[in-house]
Amino acid sequence: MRRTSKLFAGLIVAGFASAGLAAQAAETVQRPGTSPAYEQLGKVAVMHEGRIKPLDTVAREEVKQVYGKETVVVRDPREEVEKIVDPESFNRPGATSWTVEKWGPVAAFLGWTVRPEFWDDQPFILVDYLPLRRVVMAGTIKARLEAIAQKSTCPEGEKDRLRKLAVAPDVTATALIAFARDSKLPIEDRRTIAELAARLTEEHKWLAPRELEEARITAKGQELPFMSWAAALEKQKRDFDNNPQAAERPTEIERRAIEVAHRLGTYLAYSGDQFSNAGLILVMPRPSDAKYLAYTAGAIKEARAAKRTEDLPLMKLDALRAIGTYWDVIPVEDHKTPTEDAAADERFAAWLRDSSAWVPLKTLLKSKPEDLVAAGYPEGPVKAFLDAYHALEQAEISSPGQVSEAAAAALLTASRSLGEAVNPTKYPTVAMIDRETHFNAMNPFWQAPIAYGTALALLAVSLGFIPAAGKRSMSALLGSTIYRFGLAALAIGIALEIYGFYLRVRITGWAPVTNMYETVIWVALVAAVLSFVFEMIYRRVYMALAGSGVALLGTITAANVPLLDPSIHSLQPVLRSNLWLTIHVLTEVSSYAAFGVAWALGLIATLYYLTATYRRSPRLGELALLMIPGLPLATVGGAGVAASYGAFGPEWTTGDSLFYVFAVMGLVGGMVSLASVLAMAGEVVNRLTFRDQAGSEEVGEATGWETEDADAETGGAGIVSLASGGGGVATLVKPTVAEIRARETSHRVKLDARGEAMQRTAATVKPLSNFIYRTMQVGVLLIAAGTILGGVWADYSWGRFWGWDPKEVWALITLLVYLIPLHGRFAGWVSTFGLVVASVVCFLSVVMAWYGVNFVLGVGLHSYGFVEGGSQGIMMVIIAGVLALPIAAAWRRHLGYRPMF
Amino acid sequence: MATATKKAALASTPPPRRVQRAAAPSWVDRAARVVDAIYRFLASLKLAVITLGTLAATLAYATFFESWYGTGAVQEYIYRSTGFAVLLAFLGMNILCAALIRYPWKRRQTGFVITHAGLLIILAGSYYSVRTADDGQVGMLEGDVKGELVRIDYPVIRVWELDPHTQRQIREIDLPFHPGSFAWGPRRPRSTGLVARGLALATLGWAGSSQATEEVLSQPGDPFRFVVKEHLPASAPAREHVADPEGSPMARIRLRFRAPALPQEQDAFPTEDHQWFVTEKKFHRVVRAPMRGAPALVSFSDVDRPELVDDFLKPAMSSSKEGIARFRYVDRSGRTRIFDWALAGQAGQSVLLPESDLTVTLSEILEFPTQTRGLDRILGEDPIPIAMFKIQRGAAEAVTHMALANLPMVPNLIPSAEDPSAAPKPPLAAIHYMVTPVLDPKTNGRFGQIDVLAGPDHALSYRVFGRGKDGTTELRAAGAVSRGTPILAFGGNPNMPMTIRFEVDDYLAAGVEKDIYVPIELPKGKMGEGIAACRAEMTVGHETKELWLRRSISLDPPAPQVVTFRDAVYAIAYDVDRKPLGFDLKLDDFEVGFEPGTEQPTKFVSKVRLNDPSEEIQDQPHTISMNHPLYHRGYTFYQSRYQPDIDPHTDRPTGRFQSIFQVAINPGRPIIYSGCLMVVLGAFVQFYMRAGIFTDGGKRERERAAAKARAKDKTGQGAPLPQPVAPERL
Repeated sequence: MRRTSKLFAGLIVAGFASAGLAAQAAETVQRPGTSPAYEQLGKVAVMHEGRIKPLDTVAREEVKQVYGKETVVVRDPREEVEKIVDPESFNRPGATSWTVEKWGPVAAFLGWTVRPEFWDDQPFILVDYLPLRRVVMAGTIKARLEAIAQKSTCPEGEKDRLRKLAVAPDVTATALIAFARDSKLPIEDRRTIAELAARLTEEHKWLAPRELEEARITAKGQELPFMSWAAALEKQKRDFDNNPQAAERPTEIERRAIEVAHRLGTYLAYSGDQFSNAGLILVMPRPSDAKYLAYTAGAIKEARAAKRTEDLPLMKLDALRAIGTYWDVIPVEDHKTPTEDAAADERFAAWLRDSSAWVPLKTLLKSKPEDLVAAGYPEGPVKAFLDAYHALEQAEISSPGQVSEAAAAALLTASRSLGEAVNPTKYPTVAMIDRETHFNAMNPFWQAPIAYGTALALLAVSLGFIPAAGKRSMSALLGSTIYRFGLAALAIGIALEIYGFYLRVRITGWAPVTNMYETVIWVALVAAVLSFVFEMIYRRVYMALAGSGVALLGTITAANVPLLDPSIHSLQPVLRSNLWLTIHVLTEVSSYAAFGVAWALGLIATLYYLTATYRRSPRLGELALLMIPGLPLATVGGAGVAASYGAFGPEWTTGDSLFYVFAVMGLVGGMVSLASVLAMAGEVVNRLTFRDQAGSEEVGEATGWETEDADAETGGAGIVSLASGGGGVATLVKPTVAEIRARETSHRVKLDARGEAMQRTAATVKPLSNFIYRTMQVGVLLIAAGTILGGVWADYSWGRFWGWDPKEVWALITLLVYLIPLHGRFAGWVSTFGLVVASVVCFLSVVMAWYGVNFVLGVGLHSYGFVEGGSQGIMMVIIAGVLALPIAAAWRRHLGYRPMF
Repeated sequence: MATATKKAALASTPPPRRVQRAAAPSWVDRAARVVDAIYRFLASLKLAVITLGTLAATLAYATFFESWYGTGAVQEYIYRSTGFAVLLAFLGMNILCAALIRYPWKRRQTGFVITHAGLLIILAGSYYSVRTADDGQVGMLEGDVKGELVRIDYPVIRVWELDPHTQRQIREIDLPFHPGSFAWGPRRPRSTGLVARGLALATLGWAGSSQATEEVLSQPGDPFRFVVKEHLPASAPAREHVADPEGSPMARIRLRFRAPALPQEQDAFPTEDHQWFVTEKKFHRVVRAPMRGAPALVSFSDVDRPELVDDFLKPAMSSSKEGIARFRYVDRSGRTRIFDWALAGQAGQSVLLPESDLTVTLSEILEFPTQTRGLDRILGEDPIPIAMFKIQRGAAEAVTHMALANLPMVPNLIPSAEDPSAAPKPPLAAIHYMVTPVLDPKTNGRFGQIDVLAGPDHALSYRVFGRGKDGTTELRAAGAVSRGTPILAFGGNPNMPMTIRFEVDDYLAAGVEKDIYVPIELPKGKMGEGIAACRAEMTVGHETKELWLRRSISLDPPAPQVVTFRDAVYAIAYDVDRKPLGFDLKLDDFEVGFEPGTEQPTKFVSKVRLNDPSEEIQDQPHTISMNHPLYHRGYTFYQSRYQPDIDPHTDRPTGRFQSIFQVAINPGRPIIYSGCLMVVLGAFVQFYMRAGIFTDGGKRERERAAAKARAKDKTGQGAPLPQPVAPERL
């Protein structure tokens, strides 16, 4: 067993080491927009999507939406071209070094507005779906290739190849790269082709705004600009969502195109001159004094007299929009022009202060200062603000990304003094802004995975140094040191997460129970805490190992899966300030954490079972038997799914129901085949670590250690099913010490190597299964309480205790599903191995309750955060992959106990 | 334990009185054994495992069922079904027996007993709740006073018998209605339940499928028979066009256009309703301008004389706005002749119709203002010129004739005002007054006109007017129309960026429009939001009438539909059950707040006044908001949502919001709560005491025992410490 543990540990260490040694190329990295000046700038308060936040947050959110990450990396465009045209000299050491600019979010965001002419040509609009990029680039590629063929410098022989490439229906990167490398064209033309080819490679995920805007898409026999195409698609999608019969279902490419159009639209809204709502940075509170009311009244009068309201000054239009919004939510008879009715004025002023949107930056910049003063902005601060902004703009243009701290600080001070002068009650305090920028910059939730990962690695390694009973040795000391460090890392992870939650709760003002992202990081925290507590009690490594595994998985998922949105939004009224909701969700989600730890423990135990020594070693051929049903199923299913996606041409595409049949076939087949492979791998590992001197299964039979139940010897929470007077009713009976001793003495047989190996595995697996049992109990307790508290909350908020809402029902199902192994163990139906398998399989119901209800079912009151598409396909593949482990273990265990055939 | 079993077994066995004594023991014995076996079976843990599994599987299936068919369906077919109740009852039985069989309970079983008793209490409380609880909604605008609970899930058809003369209500008859959550009617069988549905699916509809597809709601004693023939849980209003000899000609014309920037052809008349052209009875014409973007006018008219079809296909064209009048008359030799008279500048002039003794004088050209009566939407022009002529045969008295431009079916002679009953004299000449349409995008935004005409033999013709090179109107094309074949009206060449084609899909020589409802498919998650409608037949005596009824969109009762029979009048509405609360609420003020600059609401607050005469409460103020309900007499009022108030006349929001409360009464609530508390406490006690979550499973006891054993060892008694042994199975 120790050999096995060491092997595991070695593998894990090797994995981490190789991940750390990523190849480094020669590049000079510049980091514009990371100086303290941009930190200052990030602290300017703005209103965005109904919430007041620092500019830093807005910049991060918008840059992430457009680029996919918060830091925009701009690479030298020649790099890709050279790599394609001349790969040998490119890879030679000491080759030209390439510049890489890593733009901080605030600087990039400021750059969009201030220097669009630069950003228009940088590839930073995320188009990660390759087929879509092909569609977008098709027109350009065709035109460029034809242009090259037209040139007089083009050799005759190459013209035909070029034209052939140009008319090919799907030009791939490979074809273009091959052509760029070996054609006889002049080098500049080959560079052009290489440039095009680079756009189609997997690594190049971004296109420049101009490329997208100028792209012409051929769809349904029509050539259209990209944005018009996307607009038509968006309408189609809306129609389809409202009524599936009314429009065609958008294809994957079309759905991705809509997303890309949104990204481009976001950029254009900030960079362009037009006044679209999306791109307005709302920087300043609205005045609400008598001057502003009079100004609004004047604007209304002017608007009624004017023929075209568009010609009014911007600030007046803005005032009109504000009062229009206000009038929309109050009865028509209460629509009073300001300054006419004192009581109405007071209500309007209060609304202006508390609930109206702020004034956009563009409006302030393009208004005459005297107009702003007339609207009620104090003269001194407003001029200071405008001057500070213009100065900063000039600074950014003359030295991009290198603005002086003084200029940024000046703008920050000016905006604060103006904002506080206009609306002292609602303008955020310095502490509030600092807290959020600090949270953004540090982001404890992004640091936590590092701590958890370290903990996982150290604890896994320490498992390999478990001392043989009672012996003190160098390796034991080393092992316990590593173990201590592992625990410390886990504790650091917990501390980071707690700090993160503290900041997040302070920023949002409510408990972290509002969306999927928050539940995922909460589960990570609870899993870590729970396992830490248990570890302190039992000190058997497994608990901490499982807990840090779950915590690592949770935090990494939260940070990387785009489905989980970490940004802080405003909240549904029903979710606000509700004690019961908070308790209910936290309890419910904590139970997921307990089940998650049980799941991880189950997987660890499964690994032991997978590599354990059994009564005999099954032949690899036997283990491969599962492939006989598995592989054909997987092949047919996979082919069917591929056909549904149109891989074999349109005549092979099938309807929805057939697609699901094929998908299930493929999944089951793949799962079974994978299980077979895993079982074989387990067998190989076992043969490497275990050397059976006798080498035959008959020896085991002769040693006679098959007389007693496993539970009895290890003496844990030993449970023996006895047919008591209740008839089929199991009762807990613990053997007395005398009984155990009597049994032991009768079985003191000298074991052979195989027997000893089995004994060691039993000794390892037994505490694991006990831990699983305990964590399941904790989970059941929490989920029972959480579900009932959910009822209390529902009763309190909606007026019914239980409404058979899918999320409620799945919480109940999860409870029932975990009650089955717990009761089954009493009934004698579920053995130790059964419990291990149950801990893995039952977790499926948690996955369904947590993720499936929102993304698979998509109905019910709880789907507040329902997002379309939850990558269900990927999720199914992951689930099937995880389930293959217990199947493999069960298969190998089954063969290990049955006689040869 | 055995005694307890026996006792229980005896208690549930009827005393064997009439059985002979000799045979009694064996009979009683056998019966007791059977009962005992059943009891043990019901109490067994294995059964519990199976029941739990079954329940979990059922619930999992139910959630998918809900995802496919909607919340209403899953409630109807699963959660409120008998089968589900039986399953729960069985689980309850299982729990009860499992708990009883362990009597007398030991101390360590405390948690187990509390948990399982709690579960039984929850089940009992749920049963009690199902019997006694009620819920519904109350919705009101500011200033409204409401005192009744709208029970949305309980539809009722309300029939009021009206006095035929005064239209006053004589009495109200309510017909409760349970239509279910799936559409049914002709071609759509009504399924009875999940089992039947499954059976029908398995046998391809051969077995188990359906009941009769109609439901008789009226009772034998009612003065009428009311049968629902068809039911749609989600409906949309539609118009059906059916042939009817009483009706007028109508045609369905589809117009498709493609603008230069648009990716594909679009329907200019997007809905079927817009595509149907129903001719106006008096003018025999209807005109419609397309909804989106295509600047052409489409007209449909009908004529009853073949020569008018000829005029239609070869119209007399004139660039003047006065147009040309075409006279058809009988000449001296008895032949029908045609004379065209261009009317520009001819007011007051006379002409002698060639080869006849008819003198025609153009008195004046009047203008018929169509806009005032909304007729421009039927006739297409405003104003329409009317030419007034005086026609004189020889020296006889002149007869005034009139002709409306482009409306040949309007008679030229008008019945005299003094004596309307007198038949008008036959006209001396038939006049067809043709005015070429003005196509000038600057004045009327049109650049084309498409006319479709139904002739006397039900054949259809068309003609297209377009703009010529110098801006004058020209006839582009004319000819016969064959149904379902698209005709290119404009474009199709590189010079014209806009392409317009049209197609006559359907034509009824005489037909009527009927308002009906059609089923709509709602997307996932919105299936509960449909508005139900049904088609019913009402029979009074031997007279049967068909009618469509639809539920109201708001919580207010729908406007009843009046159906008149020979000797009775009824008003009918498809409503839901409304239960008086016994007190009322007045909404003083409703406030909704939004996140600044967004449409995301942040709060709903209703300020209400409570009036309850039975408890002598008058105008007691309360504030109901999200998560702050109002409790009164067992009822709880929760702020549930709001909905903008729409002005029924203008279809525009009035800026006021209807505040909607969810109202619930549930006397079983304390029972359920106490059960829940017991379950959680019991589970905690059980896991803490027995399984020792925090005590390492009795490690301490084992250590103590081991220490004792060691102590014994030292004294030389007992065996050495046991060695672990390899297990049989891992």
